[in-house]
Amino acid sequence: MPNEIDLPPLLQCFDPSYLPIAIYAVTPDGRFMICNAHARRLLQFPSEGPLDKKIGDFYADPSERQRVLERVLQAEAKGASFWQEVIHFKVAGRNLYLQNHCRSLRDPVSQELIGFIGSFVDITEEHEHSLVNKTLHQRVADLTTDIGRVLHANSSTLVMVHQALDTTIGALGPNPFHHEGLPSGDEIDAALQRPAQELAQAVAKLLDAANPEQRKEALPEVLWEELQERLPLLRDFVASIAVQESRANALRVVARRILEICERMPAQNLPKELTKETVRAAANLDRLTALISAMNARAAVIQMDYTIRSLREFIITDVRRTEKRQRLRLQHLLDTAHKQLTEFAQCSRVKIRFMPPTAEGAVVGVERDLVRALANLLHNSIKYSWHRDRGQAPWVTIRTSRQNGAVAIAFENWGVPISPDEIQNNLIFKLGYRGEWSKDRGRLGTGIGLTDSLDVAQKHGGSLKVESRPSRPRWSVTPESEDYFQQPFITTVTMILPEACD
Amino acid sequence: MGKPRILWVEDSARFELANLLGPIYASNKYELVLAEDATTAARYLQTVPFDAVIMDIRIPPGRDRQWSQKYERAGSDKASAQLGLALLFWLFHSNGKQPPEWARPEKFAVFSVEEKYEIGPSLEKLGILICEEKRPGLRDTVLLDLIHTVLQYSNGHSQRK
Repeated sequence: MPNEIDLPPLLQCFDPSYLPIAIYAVTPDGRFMICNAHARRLLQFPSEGPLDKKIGDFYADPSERQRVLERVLQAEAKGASFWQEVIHFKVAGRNLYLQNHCRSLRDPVSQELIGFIGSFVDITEEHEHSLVNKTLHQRVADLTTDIGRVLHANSSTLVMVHQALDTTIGALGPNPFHHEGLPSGDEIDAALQRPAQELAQAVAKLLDAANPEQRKEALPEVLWEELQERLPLLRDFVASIAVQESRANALRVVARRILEICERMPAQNLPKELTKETVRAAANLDRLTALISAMNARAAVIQMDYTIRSLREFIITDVRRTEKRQRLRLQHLLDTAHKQLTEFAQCSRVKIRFMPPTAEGAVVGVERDLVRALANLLHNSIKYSWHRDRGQAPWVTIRTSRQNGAVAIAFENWGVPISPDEIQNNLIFKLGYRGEWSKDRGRLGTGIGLTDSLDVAQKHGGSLKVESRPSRPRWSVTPESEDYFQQPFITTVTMILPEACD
Repeated sequence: MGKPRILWVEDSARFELANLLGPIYASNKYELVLAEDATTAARYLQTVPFDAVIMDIRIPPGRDRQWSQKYERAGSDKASAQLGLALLFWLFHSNGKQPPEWARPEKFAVFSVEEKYEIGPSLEKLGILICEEKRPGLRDTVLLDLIHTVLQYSNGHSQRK
């Protein structure tokens, strides 16, 4: 090996050229005593001949060499055989990250420092990847915190909107629907019948009562014609408006327009009682349709509220403070999850039944995560329930049981199917996946709930089991037939957790 | 002469956007047909002549394999399937048949959350010039206004022809 420097006796019999890693030895001031073929290639030295650079010339930050040497000597003082770290070199303008294993060289007799010996491993690619990953991780962490903050603010906005809608609904009373939930389309139609008929009658009376002279003085003929044209829709809005969900709003537009027309009627030209009656009936229909609109909006807010809160909880799981595991009574966990969803259940008019009424047993875990996981499952069960015929309210059954050192919490609902394919291939547990049949009737969702619940169950040493089968199987409707997934299914999602020892 | 027949392709028509239908029914001027997925929309577009078609871009596939496969291929971001656009290209360019005689680009408008710069080049290829972005703060007459615009534009277009 060509060197300008005489090798100390210690190194004279050392031939590192055959070693498959980069080996070097330098004097205390950094001149190369040994630089094998691998090291030469790394540092872009000629394969043979004298070396015109010192090791310090390769440091990206020249002052770093001194610090490295100090650490090597400190390690030596502590009895460590070598010092290992990543050093940053610049070779021909290119960044080179080397894992450097280095130790001091001392004269065996005098113990005087005669140099340093070490090996380099080129880890540039891995190191640059790790730098990119570190940056990405930091960005994800920042973004996660930021999204969490935005979702938190959105939750607060929803609280405000909810309260404003409660106030509005109160002001728009009396409420003809004798429950707290969202009225069904048929209930809305029934509630609108009478006010729409009353307005139709009032307008018809007004049209009949006014003679041609009065009509001409009171309003332009085109507006009388418009009033006349509104009558069929008011009299039979169910037949006139095919899309049931838009009937209330269509009637609101008609009522408002009639109010506008009435405002243009001079008081003295028409029988006062008739115009008053028309205005009263139009205002009542306007009020009722506005009430329905506000109730719909409140139901949407309630549905969105849990979705946003659970999304926030899920997103910030990895960045928030880790909470302690503790012994938790199952009943307490279920009560807390139920409380979060009481309003959603009321609004959806779904009854929650506990079987048995009090859950026995306890688990060990993080309360916040377990409550969220159970609430996700309850939320799904409520959301994917169908309304039964004859006005019977749907229900979700929460069954709890203890067996073989585990507790099982099963959420059972009647309604939207989950196909066997989605269960067998674990599609429903994929982050962001929404069931093939889960989007009917505009159900809002993120595709996170089941993934999150499974994750929490597994982190607590548990599991999740999903079953979905037709409620009343009929031999004529096979899984291949088009109608198979149009029938109600009984879906049971069971979380199994290890039971806490007494 | 009957009322102009309008097709609205929109999966939220009965839900978040149901209020937009109120002014249309109240006006009593149009016969409205709803299609809430690509399968239903494709069937209507092939079999029923319309005076105006208002199209959403993010629509679910419905039952037809042709559309559900496209939807599945979009991966986890189903919005990127843009089945509304796919449906328009299928109608005008790629279903192996001539589009029905009534179906001319000037009878179509897009009403979607996509911003114009996202879908503009595709709409240009299709010859569809009317596009309204769904965003908060729109009046509940936005759909009615859009229908007026399409009818006016398409009538003007046929008169010029």
